[in-house]
Amino acid sequence: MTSRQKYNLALLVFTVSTLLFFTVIVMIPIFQTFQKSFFDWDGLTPATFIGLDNYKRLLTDDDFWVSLKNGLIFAFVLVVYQMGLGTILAIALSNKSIRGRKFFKTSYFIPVVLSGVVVSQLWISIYNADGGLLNSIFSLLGIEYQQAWLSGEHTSIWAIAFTNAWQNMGVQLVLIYTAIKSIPEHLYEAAKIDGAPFWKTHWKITIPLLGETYKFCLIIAITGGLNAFQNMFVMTNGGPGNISYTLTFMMYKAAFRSGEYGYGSAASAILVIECLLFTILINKLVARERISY
Amino acid sequence: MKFNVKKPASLLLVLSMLVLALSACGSSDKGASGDAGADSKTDTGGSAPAAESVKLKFYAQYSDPDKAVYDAAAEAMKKVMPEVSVDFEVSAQDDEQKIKTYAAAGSLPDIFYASSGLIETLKKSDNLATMDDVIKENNLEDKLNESAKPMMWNKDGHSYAVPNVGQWAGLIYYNKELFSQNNVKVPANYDEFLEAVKAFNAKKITPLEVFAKEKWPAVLLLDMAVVGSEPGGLKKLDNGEGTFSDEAYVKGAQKLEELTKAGLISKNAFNTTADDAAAQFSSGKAAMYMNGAWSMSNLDSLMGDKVGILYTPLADADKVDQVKWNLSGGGFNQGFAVSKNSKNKDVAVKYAALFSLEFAKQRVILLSDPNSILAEKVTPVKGLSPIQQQYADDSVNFKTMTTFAWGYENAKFKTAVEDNTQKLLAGQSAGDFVKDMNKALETARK
Repeated sequence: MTSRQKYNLALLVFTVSTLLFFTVIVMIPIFQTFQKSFFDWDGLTPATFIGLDNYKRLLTDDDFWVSLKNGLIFAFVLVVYQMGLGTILAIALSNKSIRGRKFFKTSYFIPVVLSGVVVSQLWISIYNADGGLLNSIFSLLGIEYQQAWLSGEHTSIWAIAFTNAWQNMGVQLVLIYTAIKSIPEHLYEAAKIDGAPFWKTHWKITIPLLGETYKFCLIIAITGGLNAFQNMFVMTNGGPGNISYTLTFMMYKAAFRSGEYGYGSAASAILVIECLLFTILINKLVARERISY
Repeated sequence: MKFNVKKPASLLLVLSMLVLALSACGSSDKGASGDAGADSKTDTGGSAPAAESVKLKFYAQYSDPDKAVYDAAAEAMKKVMPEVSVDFEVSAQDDEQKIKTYAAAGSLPDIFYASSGLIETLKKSDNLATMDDVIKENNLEDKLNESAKPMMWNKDGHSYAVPNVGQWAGLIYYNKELFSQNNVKVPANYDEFLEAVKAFNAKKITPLEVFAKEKWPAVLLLDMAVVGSEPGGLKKLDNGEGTFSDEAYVKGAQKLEELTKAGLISKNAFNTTADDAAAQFSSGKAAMYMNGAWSMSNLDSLMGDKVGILYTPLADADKVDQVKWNLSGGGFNQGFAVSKNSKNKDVAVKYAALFSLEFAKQRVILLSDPNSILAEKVTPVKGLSPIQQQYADDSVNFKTMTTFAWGYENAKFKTAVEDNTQKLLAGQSAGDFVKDMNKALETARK
């Protein structure tokens, strides 16, 4: 066997094994989800083919529209908070004149390594309606704005989304910080010689050059928001009623609480399509040209 | 010739990982009773000889305060069926998802706790063994008292689980000290209950502690508001009779709407767990607390004589005398069931049936259950507390019971009423609740 053939064989083994894993763990379940979404199935007895009935029912189900809206709100909060604050902090941390940069970098990343359940419990006490930290701050400031953050119809999903955004902001911060560090120094030096002020330098140089990183950050923030489940499961159990449902929670309710695996699969199928659509859109619209230095 | 072992070795490693991973993904061939017969070398095929040792997998709430009861019952069973040993698996508090997943994967434990809702689900998929023969052969019905005998049989005439505990009513516990200190009358009917809620709310004391992070307590509260007019409660709708537009249900929803507006529950109720709620109530931060009668033992140890119980404080004043023994709560044919596909089915059925009665006995002895299902007189080690004694005395008067939410047989109805009742307690109008539930009822009954 020539060295070229050996190389090709190694390539084949590694590629095929990965593809096989991906197919078994990701593609087959997705295919089965789509297939089951056309059936009336309780997970135990034989399934009955019902065509598009599950999808038609979704359109008239209040849970579905609430879940869809909440998923988008969740994604919006993650994008704005994680990417916005992540960018500001990454720019600040890349400034060599700031002292204790290592300490701050580590501090911002600590919530990421904490368990989601621990973080959710922490924020449950912060949001506590009677004497929680948030309401107490308002009281101390003399503001009569006391909220039942986690059970209010208009506050619940925002409060839960913020918890997730706070916990995982460190991931985006590290991605953006690393991308900033890879921007060649001479671009900043040129701007400095031209007399560009600090923010204008970053607005005109840093942010445009972060395009490809932002593309990746957007995809993980949006799909992360649409797929959110853990925080609402721990913090509100989807309630009161359905006010903090997302599509994943709706799928969980339909499949595991109501025993409607077919209907739950239809909700999952919509979620997969939604995530795919956003990924395609982001790839089409953001940083279409490859940046190279 | 130099033989390079690195590349073949790497390939071998990758392939072996692949094989290992794929074999881990594959389904186990152990069948329905993976641990069953673990001690025996041969497959007993559902008719294990009595002398052969058998190990059964037992999926149940093997945790405090019931753990001691399970241990005592298992110990007692060693004298009756010495060849059998059990391996307990602690059941998950997960709306029965894990056990349903076991059923879907064909790997149900030999014995498992099944609510009446789960029994109906597993009956349909032919996963349950019947206990009819064992009950007859061992005269088990004669060992139950009269009130417990109907619990033995499913509506289809078979038995899928021998009862292991008596019927528990849904109760509202109240703090006697808080009521007397604040000069609030202990409510005997809905009007007085509303007054009490307003009075405690004005004094910034939570009127009723509800652990609404779990879904069923809100349903129990609505059921309590309904049974005063309709003894069948929400169970009647679950059975396929009536709609939420019927007067009793509309009135029940309106009562909850009115109580919610009066400040019935804490703003944190939807994030409150059962332990948190019991702690709030026992520490005097809430005047009342809602839970099943099984909490009497725990509350008595926390509060002693300070705690009292109410059965139907949400009934109308003019009807309360007629309906005061129509209670919420209860359950039907539920208890320890056996997988039809267990490799040791016959042994498991006999063990589960006899274990159930031993379990019921040990609960009375160790936890002072005041609602024994046994014909035999059993004496609790610690005796009965005042509220347990009251419950034991009152229970002879109980006329009807509904069921807790986990006893609903229609899973779609159950999830809809759980979610929508939470919304009602969060401030939704009774009209919207009735509209939403009628729509959900249509879907659930298809």
